[in-house]
Order: sequence, then structure tokens, then C-alpha cells
Amino acid sequence: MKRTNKEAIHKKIHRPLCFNGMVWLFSYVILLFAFSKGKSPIKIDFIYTIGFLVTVALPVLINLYILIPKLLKREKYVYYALGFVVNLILFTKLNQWFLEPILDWWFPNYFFISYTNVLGINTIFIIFLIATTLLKLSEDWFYFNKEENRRLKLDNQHIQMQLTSLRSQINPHFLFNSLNVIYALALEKKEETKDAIVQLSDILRYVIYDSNTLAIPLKDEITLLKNYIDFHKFRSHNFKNIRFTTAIENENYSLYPMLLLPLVENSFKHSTSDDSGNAFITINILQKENTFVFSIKNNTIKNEDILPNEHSGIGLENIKNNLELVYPNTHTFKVEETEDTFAVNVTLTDTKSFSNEH
Amino acid sequence: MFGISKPLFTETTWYTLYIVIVLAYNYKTNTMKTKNLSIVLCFLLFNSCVLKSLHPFYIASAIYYEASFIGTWVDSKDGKWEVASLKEEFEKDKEPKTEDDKKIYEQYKDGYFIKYTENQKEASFIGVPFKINNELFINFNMVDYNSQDLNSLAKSNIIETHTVAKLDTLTNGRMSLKWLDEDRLGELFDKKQIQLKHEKVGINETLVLTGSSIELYKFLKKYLESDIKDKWKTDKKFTLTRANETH
Repeated sequence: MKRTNKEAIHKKIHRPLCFNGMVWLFSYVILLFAFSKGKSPIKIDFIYTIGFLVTVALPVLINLYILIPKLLKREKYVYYALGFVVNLILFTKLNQWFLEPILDWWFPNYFFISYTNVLGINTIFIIFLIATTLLKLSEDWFYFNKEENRRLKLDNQHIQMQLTSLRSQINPHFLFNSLNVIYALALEKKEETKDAIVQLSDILRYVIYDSNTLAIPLKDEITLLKNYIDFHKFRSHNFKNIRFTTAIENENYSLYPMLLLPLVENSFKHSTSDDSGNAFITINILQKENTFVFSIKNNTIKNEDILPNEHSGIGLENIKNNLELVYPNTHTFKVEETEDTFAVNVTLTDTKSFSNEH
Repeated sequence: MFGISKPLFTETTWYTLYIVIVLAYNYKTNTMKTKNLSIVLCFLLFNSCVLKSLHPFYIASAIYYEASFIGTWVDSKDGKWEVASLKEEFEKDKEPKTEDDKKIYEQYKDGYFIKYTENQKEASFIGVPFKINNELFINFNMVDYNSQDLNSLAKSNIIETHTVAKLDTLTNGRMSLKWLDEDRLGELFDKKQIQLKHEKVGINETLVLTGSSIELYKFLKKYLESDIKDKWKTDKKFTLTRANETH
């Protein structure tokens, strides 16, 4: 399928009439100059050059439209080399055997004598076949490079659009939840309301300004998570069973911003509704060399009062999409769900390239 | 090139004659006029309209030794042609042979040694017979000529060229020699119907072919097969009769 697309693009960009018109007009002028020995060309030179050009055109066209697309571009290099040599030898010999007899038969009173010898014919054929092959490859490279750049730009635009879209989904979602927490504190007229607002302010500053970069240090992301956890503690005083452990080798380790917050949000959403006192959230962050592991586990309640709606699961989907876009083929995302617990494990491997890029 | 007379009233001759007259007119004394005129006339006599080439007109594989040409011949202008086998001449010579001699022998063993005498002026040629499409040709290469009239400087300005003649056997054992004429080729060049390496040299713009022997042979073959009218028309043709038959 891929090859078909490439061939389709090639057909679209290659204009045979224009390409061949230019190549053969230029070749005719060069050969005419060579055959007239640098003097003003005479009638017989024009005739001979046309005849010679026809015998060169055949192997060149076979090379351009059969050997190159069918063999060289399909990486059958040995077969291509063999085909190239056979094509060269066959048509060189045909020229030597038949060109002058045909011209002599066609123009009985014209004397095509001092034009080429065997060595000259061989040289001209070799030069033509190699030069036109290089010209064709250059043409292909030029157009494919142009097409590739255009495709990359489109891909980049598409990714930027997706990321912007995903972020715009996260922020309102997070803000909605946070305002609910503050609203709950305000209803209870708690002292901690102002502190909660300050912490939310810190979180929003991070979300609005810091998260607009493509990468942030891991320590900033951890600060965000801590703020978020502390913020949620205002909401539920009974919720004491939160374990947040880190084992970090490099706190400046680069990470895509706001990658982990949706998972923490998700855990809080499901755990804090459990008023039995058994609710828990366990968060572990491990970073060593180029490997990063984030695991989070929380309890779940069987008969949730939370009504499922179209926005539930948005956080998980967002993080999956983000990981696919930002860490393609270098991440794992595992969800383990039992009757009582819900666990997510995110592993990033070979993040060196991400760090270098950003 | 030398020792072969030339009719004065050809196209190139008229041109040269015009130059001669102008040059002669510019000289003040009658003596000077006469002397100058004689020099240029000598030049015209030597410079015939036979087509000349730097290289032989034959290729080695086309050489064909024709024994019937051996002997002494006379032409209708009282010219005498003594034709001998080079191989026999070489073998007659009992002098020790150098490497160069052996090389020449190998090259010309199927050729003739031709001595042409006209008006008691001698010129010697090496003639190499060769065939194209069953037609016999002889490549002439002058080796010696009656040069007592030329001083050493004039001699050193002369190069030996090759000419080609078609040899036909006529009835009664006679033979015809017709040189390929420069004018015939000049017509082809004028009509732009030929691409063959050549130069035009000297004040007369004498046509001298510079193509290789392969090219010259290829040209002769095509020329022989062409339907060009009067392609063997020439100022330089001889009908040879065996000398013993005339005396």
C-alpha cells in the first residue's frame, strides 16, 4: 500500500512530456555540437544526430520507465545492475550494427563517415545512461523531499492541533473539579478555604503558564501533584490514607507537562466518595536513567453513587492519547481493575530522545 | 602528387592562374615576370586534382593481390608504367635487412612497386591493391620523384600523401586506372552530404582527407554503392596497354 502511494505521488509529480522534452532537446543540442566537431552543423549532422538520438533514447527510456521503477526503487540492486549492463550492451551493439546501415539505406547519397567509432559510441551510451539515471533520481529526490516536507508540516500541524485540543479538554475538567472542592469548603465555611484558593492558584499558574512548554522538569510535576493532593485534603479531612513515594535519580528529568495529573484526579474522584474510612491512594514515582515509572492505585466502591456520564473516562482517554503522540512506541500504559481496587501503571522507556528534542 | 601532369583549365586552376597573373603584374621587370610565372606553373603541374589523403584508403583485411597488373604498361599519352611485385623486389635485394625493412616488407608485401615515366620524368610509387565489393582499387603512395628541379627547402615542404585509383580490366587485356577526383568530393562537401574529416590546405585550398583508413575505406564503399552520377569522372585517368603488345 505504501509503495502504491509513493508510485501514485510519483506519477502525479512526474510530467513525462515535459521531462523528456527537456532531456532530449538538450541531448540533441549536445550531440549535434559533438558530431559537428565544434563547427557549424550542416544538413548531414542534423540527420545523423536524430538517428543517433533515437538509438540512445530507447535504452534510456527502458532504464527510466522499467528498470528504475521496477528494480532500483524496489531495492533489487543486483537485478538492476544486471539489467542496466544488459540494456547498455544490447543497445550499444544495435547502434553499431544497424544505425549506419539504416541511414545509408535511407539516405543513399549521404556519407555518414567521421562521426563515431566503437569507443565513442560506448562512451556516449554509458554517459547517457548514467546521466539520465542520476537526473531521474535527482528529480525523484527533489519531489519526494518536497512532498515529505509538506507531509511533515501537515503531521506537525495535526499533532499541535490534537495537543491543543487535549489540553483544552484537561484544563476545564480540572478547573471544574477544583471549583467543586472550593465550593464544598465554602459551604462548610471552613478556615482552610483561603489556603485552598491559594493552592488552587498555584496549581492554575502551573497549568496556565508552565504546562504550555513541551517539557518540564520532573520536580515541577511532583510539586503540582503534591499541591493537588494537599488541595484535595481540604475537601475530605477523613481521607488520610494517601501514600506518595518517589525514588528519583534526576529531579530535572524532562517530562511532558500535565501527563500525570489526570490519573491522580481520577483516583481522587473514585476514592473520596468512599466514606467507610478504608479509602486509599498509593502513588509511586520511580525515575532511573532514561526510565520513568508512575503507578497509582486506589480503592473503588461497588455501588458508586457517581453517575456515569459522557465525561467520565475523559482523563484516561486523554492520557492515552497524549502518550501515543508524545512517547510513540516508548511507553506502556496498563490498567488493572479488580472489584475493590483500580490501578494504573505508566512506564516511559528510552526517553533520552524526548529530552534531547525538548 | 608529383610527376603527374594536370590540365590547366580546371576550376582551381583558373583561380590560381588569376593569382599568378596578379603577382606577375606586380613585378617590374619582364625577367622577373617570366621567372615567377614558371615557378607557379610548376606548382600547378604538381598539384593535381586527384583526391589526397594523409592515411591510406584501405584496411588490411581488404588487401587483394592482383597478379595480372604486374608488367610494363604504356598509356595513350606515351607514359610508361613499370609495375613489379614488392615482395619479389624485396626478395631480390640481397642486402641485410633491418627491423625497419622487415616491418615495411610485412606492410607492403602484397603491394606493387610502380615506376611511372612521363616525358622522361620518373616518379615511383608503392601501390597497394584492395577490393571493395569485388571492385579493385589501388592505393598510391609516392616514394620517389624526379626532384632535380627542386631545391632542398622545397623538398622539405612536401609531404607524401595517398591517392586512390580504380583499376578496371578492359577488353583485349587493357586496364583502366581512374583516380578519385577531388572535385567529386568537393561537390559532396558543397551539398553538405558528407561528414568526413578533412582539411583545405595551401593557397589553392587543396582538399586533403585526414580521416582514418577505416573511415576512408567506409567512404569508398559507400561511394561505390551510391547512385551519384559521374562518380568516377576525373581528369586523371589512364588506359594501359601492355608494352610488349604495342612494340
